[in-house]
Amino acid sequence: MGKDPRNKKGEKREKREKRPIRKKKCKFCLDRVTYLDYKDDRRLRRFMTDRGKITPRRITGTCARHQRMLASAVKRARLIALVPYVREYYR
Amino acid sequence: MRSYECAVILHPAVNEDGLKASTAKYVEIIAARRGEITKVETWGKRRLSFEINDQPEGHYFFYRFRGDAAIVAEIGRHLRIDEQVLRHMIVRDELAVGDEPALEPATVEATMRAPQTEEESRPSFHRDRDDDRGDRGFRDRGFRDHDRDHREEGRRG
Repeated sequence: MGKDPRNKKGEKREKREKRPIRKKKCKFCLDRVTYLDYKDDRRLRRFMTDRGKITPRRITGTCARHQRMLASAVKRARLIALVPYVREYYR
Repeated sequence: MRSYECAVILHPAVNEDGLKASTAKYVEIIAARRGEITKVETWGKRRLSFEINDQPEGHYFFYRFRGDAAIVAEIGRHLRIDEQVLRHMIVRDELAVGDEPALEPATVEATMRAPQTEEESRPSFHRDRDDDRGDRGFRDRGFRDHDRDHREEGRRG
């Protein structure tokens, strides 16, 4: 990460420094996705947290275009109860 | 003419005959207004992600058709009246090319989608990795230590 490799106490963190920054690739671009189907709930779920939120781009590395497609697909899927709006409890 | 896709969730108590009748009814409505049905698909009884009208499951149907906007309004009206319908959604069919063959309205039957393995019941014991809104009084406070581990992992990735 592009942050200062020191923690609050000013000590150097060894582990993190050595880690090379690996650029994340948009998974949809790699698959050449042109349309994201709202019915494909299993795929959508991979881009949602367990609480039911859409995972942000900074975590998944999805490109802007596909993130937009993902967002609308998830919202449609929520409407017909294929994926949850929220899940407040875990089994 | 535009291509649309209509998703319908029917009440789980509707029986086999009722499902057929329901399909026939909506196919009829589309056909009566010179709409062309290209596909009717059903997923059978499926678990809902959340309860709708206190029902934990419902019968899923997807109608793909071509027609004018008036048809959309008409089906929407019928769907809202129909008490068997738990929920419906009509969207533009963006996958349609526009030249799919139209089905004969009288013989249209819902085709079953191939069953898929259920992934839904996967247990999970951590909160959102990036849930930065702090404790909101949920019952899962006991998991906060697990949570912390995952959070660390999430940041590194």
